[in-house]
Amino acid sequence: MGTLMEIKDLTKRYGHKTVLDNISLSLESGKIVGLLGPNGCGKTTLMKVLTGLIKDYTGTVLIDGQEPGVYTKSIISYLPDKEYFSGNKRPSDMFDLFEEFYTDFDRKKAENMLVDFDLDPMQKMKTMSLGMQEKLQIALVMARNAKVYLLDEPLGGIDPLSRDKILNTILRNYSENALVIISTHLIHDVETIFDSVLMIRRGNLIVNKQVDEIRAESGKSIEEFFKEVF
Amino acid sequence: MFGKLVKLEFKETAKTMLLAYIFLAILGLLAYGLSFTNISAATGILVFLFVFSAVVIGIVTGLLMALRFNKTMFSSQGYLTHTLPVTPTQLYLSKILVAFFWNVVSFFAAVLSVFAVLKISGAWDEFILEIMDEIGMTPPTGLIILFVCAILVSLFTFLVSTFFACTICNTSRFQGLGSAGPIVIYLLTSTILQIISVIGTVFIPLTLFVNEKLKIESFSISFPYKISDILNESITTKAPIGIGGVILIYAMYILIFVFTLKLLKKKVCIK
Repeated sequence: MGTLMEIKDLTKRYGHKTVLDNISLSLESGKIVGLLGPNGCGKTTLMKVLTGLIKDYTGTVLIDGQEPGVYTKSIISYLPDKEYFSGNKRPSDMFDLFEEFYTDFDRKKAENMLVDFDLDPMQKMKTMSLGMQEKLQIALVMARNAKVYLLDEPLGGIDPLSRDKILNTILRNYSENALVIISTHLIHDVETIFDSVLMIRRGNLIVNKQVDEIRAESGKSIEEFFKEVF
Repeated sequence: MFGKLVKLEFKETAKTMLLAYIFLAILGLLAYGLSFTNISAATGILVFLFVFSAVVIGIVTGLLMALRFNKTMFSSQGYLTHTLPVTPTQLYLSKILVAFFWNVVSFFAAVLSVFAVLKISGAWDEFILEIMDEIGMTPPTGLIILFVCAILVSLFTFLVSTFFACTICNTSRFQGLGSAGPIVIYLLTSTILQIISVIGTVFIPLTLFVNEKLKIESFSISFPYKISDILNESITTKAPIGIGGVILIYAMYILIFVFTLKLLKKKVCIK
């Protein structure tokens, strides 16, 4: 398990507002990492920097030894916190697109996930609910055999009944040697799958620890520990 | 990957554009069919609708392409676009290439539609005669080529400046302008470029002289207009055209093109 992600002195400002303040960390492959923090603390901004959606930052970001660019985009499977579909598209169109651009996309896997989620591959996006679109997006992202999965609020718009199904889908489908970073507010639902957690407050990384270490030191669950920290 | 992006872009835009052209063709055929009947009012309305639609399609295509650029690059769809394993340059070039293609097709569809109406209505010969009368029996080939090139370049530069306006409004510094930002930036850029063009035309000593038949007579390294000539409103048979402005404005468009690419590579933030 080598270092897959190296971040050094990462700072991002919007005008005078510092959203990420001098963040440094390194993450290994084969881990599931929870990215936790209150609204507006910089979680999504950090994800956007890693995916290359934000480019005007200072500091160093290396993913598999490379700065965010064409190569890193080919190994990162990213689930944003919003839906990126055009209304007149169908799931099958999205499969075609992913198959065309990502060599690691497994169409069969995506189709199976669609069946699991009870989604019709020919249904137009504009007739799908937000939750259905989120499930489709998860199927697309998890059907890639990527080295890094960045999942921003994967359970955000999902009803409580389907959350377990989503979590199982994530756990069943990610490549074992991959690094999975999950940003979430719903710590209680997800904490059992984390190997380590990163906690961000006002752009500063305040906790970067193994889950076992937190439990042993504090004797608390991750959610309780989170409440204590914030 | 560039080829795949161009293919994708064509696939995404073809449906709308082809529907517009089919609509235009149906209107044209209906108008043509009705012209053989005695229902002159209906024919008139259809001919008007046909020409109107052709002109609207010609004008609106560029605008639609700019809106599509903004939507696919900087709205929530940008989350997908910008995470595809391609470079920002490839994204930009594929989009501007396909947009330019449709812009050209729509423009010529509009021109051909107007010509078709002139031909069918019998006004074609009159129209041609009028042009012949203005510029001589054989229109200068050089001038026609220049005219077509000027149209193509202006269709392209429209896309360059609208894409630039959309891009700059998605950098940290300009994101605060909101959804009206691209329009404001586009208008501002156009105004500044027009001023630069006028300054270049008047103050750069590069002049083409054309005669009344619009044939190029000579080229000179001199100012096109003398203040005394302008004040006296003196007109010569050889009309001077200051080309410094044209050169300067195209140089500015090249700069805008390069600057947009730089912004896409280094400065853009997806909301």
